[in-house]
Amino acid sequence: MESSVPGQIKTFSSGSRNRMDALVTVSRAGTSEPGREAEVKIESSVRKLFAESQDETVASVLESLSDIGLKILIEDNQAFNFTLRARLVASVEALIEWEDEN
Amino acid sequence: MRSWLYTPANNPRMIIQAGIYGADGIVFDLEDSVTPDHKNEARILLGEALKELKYGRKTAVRINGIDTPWWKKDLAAVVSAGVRIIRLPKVERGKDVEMVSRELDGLEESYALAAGVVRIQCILETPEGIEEVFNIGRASSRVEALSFGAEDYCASLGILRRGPAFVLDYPRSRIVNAAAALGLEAVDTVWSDFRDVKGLEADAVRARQLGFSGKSVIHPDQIKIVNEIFAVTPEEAAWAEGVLAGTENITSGVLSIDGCMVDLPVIKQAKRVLEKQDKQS
Repeated sequence: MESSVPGQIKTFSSGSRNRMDALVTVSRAGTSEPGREAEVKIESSVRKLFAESQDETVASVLESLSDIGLKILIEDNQAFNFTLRARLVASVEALIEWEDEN
Repeated sequence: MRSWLYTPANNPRMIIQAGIYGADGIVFDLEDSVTPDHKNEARILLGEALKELKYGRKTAVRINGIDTPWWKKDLAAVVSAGVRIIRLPKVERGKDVEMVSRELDGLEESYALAAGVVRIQCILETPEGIEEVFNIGRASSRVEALSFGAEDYCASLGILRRGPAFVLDYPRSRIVNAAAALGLEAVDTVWSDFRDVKGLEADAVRARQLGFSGKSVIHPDQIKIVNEIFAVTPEEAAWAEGVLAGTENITSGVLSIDGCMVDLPVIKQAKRVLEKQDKQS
C-alpha cells in the first residue's frame, strides 16, 4: 500500500496489475505541508464526487485531484469503472491518513 | 439455499464473475481472504462494486469479527452499498449478535432503511460458539441462519479436518438442532481442498444427512456437486407427492400407503420436502 523514496516523494498505491484490476499510485512532494483545508478538499474531491453522482467519471476526479497537487498514475488492466474508482479512493485515503499522522 | 460461494473481496475479477457459476448465494469475504494491510482497499472495492453490479441472487458479506478494529467500518460500507445479509464470523455468545444488531439499528436509521431489514448469518466456529448456539440464534430477530466453520473449530480441538467425518457430527448436530428449533436455516462449512472431489462429496452428504439445508463453497468447481447433493431428488419429490395425494383429507390417525405407515409427522415431512423443492426451483 505504501512506498517511498526517502526525503523525496511519498507514494501510496492500491490494487494490482492483475487482469480486470488497476494499480493506482498517488504521490505528493514529501516536503509539502498540506493544511487542513487541502486535506478536506482531497477527501471531498474523491469521496463526495463519487458518492453524489453516479455519472461522475474517474477523469473528472483525476482533474480535481491534480488541481491540488496530487500526482496520480493508473495502470489499468481492463478494469471496470468501479474498480478504478475504488482503487483511486483507497490510495488517496491512505495518503490522507499518512498526512494526518505525520 | 443449497450453495454459498465465498468470493474474496479484494479481487475485482472474482467479484465480477461471482454470479456466473450457478451458486444459489454469494458471500463476499472481507475476513480471512483479505490480509490486514488490504482491509481498507478491499472494503472500498466491494462497496463500489456492489453499488454497480447486480447478481440476481442472494448476496451476503462476511465482515471481520467483532474482536477486530474493522467490523464497524465493514458494516457501514456494505450496508450503504445495498447489502442486506451479513455473515458474522466467530460468534461465541448472544451478546456478540446483540452488539452487531445495535450497530445495524443505527445504520438502518442513517440510511433510512426499514428497521431490521439487514439480516445476520452467524458462523459458529469455536467450541464456545457451538455450546452457545441456541442462545446465539435467538439473540436477535435479524438472525436468519446458523453456519458452521469447521477449520477454526478443528484447530481449537487439535483435530484434523481430513479425519473421519463423524468427528464433526457433534457440532453439526447442535447447529442443525438449534436452527430447527428457531426456524432458521443451517448452512454447512466449506471443504477447503477444492481438488478433492470425493472428500467434498462425502462431506456434503454427511452434512445433508445431519439436516443442513446447504453448504458454503470456496471454489466454483464445488458448486455443481453441492447443488446436486442438497437438491430434492425426483424420488423424494415423488414420495412426498404420493403421501400428500394419499392423505388429502386426513387430519388425524394412521393409514398405510404402499405398505408404509403414514401419520401426521410423515405428512408434515412430505410437505417440507415439497416446500424445499419449491424454494430450490
